[in-house]
Amino acid sequence: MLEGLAIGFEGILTLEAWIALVAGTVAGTIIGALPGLSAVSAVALLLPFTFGMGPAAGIIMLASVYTSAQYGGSIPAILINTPGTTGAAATTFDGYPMTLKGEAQEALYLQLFAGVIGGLIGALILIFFTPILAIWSLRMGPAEFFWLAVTGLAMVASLTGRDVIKGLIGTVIGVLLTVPGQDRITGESRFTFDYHHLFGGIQMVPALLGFFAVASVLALTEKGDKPIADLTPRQGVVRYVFKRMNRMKFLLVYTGVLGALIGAIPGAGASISAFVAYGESKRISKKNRHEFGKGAWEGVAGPESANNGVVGGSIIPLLGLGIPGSGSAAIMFSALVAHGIIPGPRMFEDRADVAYTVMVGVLMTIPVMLIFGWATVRWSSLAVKAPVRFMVPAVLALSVMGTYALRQNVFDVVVLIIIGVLSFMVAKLGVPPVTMALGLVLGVLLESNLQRASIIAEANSLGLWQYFFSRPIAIGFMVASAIVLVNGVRGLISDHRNELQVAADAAAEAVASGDSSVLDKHQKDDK
Amino acid sequence: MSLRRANIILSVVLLAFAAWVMYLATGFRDPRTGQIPMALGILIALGAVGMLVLNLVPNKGAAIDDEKPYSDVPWAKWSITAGMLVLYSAGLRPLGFYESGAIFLALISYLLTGDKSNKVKAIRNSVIFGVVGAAVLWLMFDVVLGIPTEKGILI
Repeated sequence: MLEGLAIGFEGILTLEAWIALVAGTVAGTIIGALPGLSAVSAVALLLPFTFGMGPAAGIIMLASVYTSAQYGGSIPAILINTPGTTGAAATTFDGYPMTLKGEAQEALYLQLFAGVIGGLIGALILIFFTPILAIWSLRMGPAEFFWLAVTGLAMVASLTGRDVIKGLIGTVIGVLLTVPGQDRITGESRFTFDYHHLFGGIQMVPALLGFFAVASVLALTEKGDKPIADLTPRQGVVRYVFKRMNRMKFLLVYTGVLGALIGAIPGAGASISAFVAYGESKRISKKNRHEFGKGAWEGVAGPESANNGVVGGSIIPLLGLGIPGSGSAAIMFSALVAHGIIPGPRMFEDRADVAYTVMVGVLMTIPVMLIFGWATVRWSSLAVKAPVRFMVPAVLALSVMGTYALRQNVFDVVVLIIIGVLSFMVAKLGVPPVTMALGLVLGVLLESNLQRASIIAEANSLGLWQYFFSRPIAIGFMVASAIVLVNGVRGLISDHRNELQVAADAAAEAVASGDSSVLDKHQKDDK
Repeated sequence: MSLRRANIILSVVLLAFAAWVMYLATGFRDPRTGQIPMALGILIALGAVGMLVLNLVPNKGAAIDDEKPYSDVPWAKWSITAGMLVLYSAGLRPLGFYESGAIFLALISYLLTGDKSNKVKAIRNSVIFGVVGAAVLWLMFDVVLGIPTEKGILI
């Protein structure tokens, strides 16, 4: 192992590798920050540049693009409630409220440092645990994936506000958005109404941009022509962020490991890990849970650590087994093949130099991302000072552009607009867009794996539940989903009790002071 | 419109929607194709019924009559913005990507300008914003990233 690492560090100590690393980090951050262009798009766009490089430098460039795009995607999520990548959707829940509270710079530094911690954890897990985790990831079958999706959906109780029914309806509608198109198992067309654009289904990027970007900028029209938020960073903002992060050491490490482990599961992806990390952050932060959704620091730190931990994790099946576990890993796979290298266990014997250089490259991307991110936080945070008359058209145009760039299809733009307008309307009634996003992200995983599981169960003459209970990892996820659900419901009940207590205390205080207007107000709130 | 009334309307719309989803879910050759849509339809219907009951029973629902969810929405600006977005998407092909983008940026910027006491200045600023914004989009997507977009009259 140490010998391999020495080879890896030797491989990265070339000018070509460093140019690839720095250029990839800068490009990845910028592309990731553009709404609609995901980490996969970023890696795909930079792929042609790697053909003229050596294999190690080429893959280092793609790995650095992938890592930094995950980071960059969360910048607009925090500043303008528009996730640049799907993995950044969970960061909007508390990142944007922090911006609205005038804490944009604090949120951006927190996002950067949490991402660095998560990225380092992911890279270290990639370096030291690839053989073990690669084998473990192969044990994930449809039953495990189905229950992983259920665990994610069980978080709806954590994401929704007081109105659980609306949260549930939002989640179900999100899942329903994944239904149109060809059934992934039976091949039958569903809900397409013979309209050919629907055969491929509703794309995730326009839907997510509709939920977050379009809906939130339409809401900005209510503000009048003012900046989105004040930008009043504290004196010594970086030191303050470190101080706050010091109180969440366990959370940062835990969610980073969680991100890397979920990333190591082929097909799971960054968005699922960030959603799961958000739920876990809320579960762990017992004292601060009422702040979630209103700008809780833990609500940014957890998903960001996981979102960046995913990168190292998702390269594990690529290097360890030759299975690309994500879209970005698939492009890296093709880049390696283009250089005549077949990823997989034999790569560590035949081209150990490349394998270890890739691992060290993923690790070294993190300090470069830290330096670039640190240098740009002040500038990027200025975006919140832009008045609404510039911000609204700019975000809408970028969303249309990013959506159109996906498939050069106007239909996707229409989907973006319809979902954005409907999302704005129902959000006003208390249906949280985040629950719809959660359903959308997990819907495909849920249905296709349920169908696969039932086919396997049938083939083995087992009932579906018998099959589930024959899979130890699936049982683990079942237990996890039950814990998440029970905790979420308990949290809702305790939040409701706290609100009633606060109202009762205030009413008692008002009675004591004889202030009838305060009493009236609280009676109304109680109703 | 009060939140209670809006909730009741939403419940009825959702019930109708759920019935439609369940009806569509029964029409597939392979029953597995309709399993999830049927389950989702049932869940939406149950949620809608729950919401309807909560809001029809006086003083038991979460919503109160004097909560007006849409009262702060500036409907004229909002509708024009949404309508312009639709026109923008319709204009992508005939006008070109960046040309329609420039017009969209300029018009929305002018619409949302708060102080229009000096109309000439407001129009000038909006036009500059539209042209510069479209140029930045073109530089970023077309020149740097090489993403293919609809060709238009100028670019």
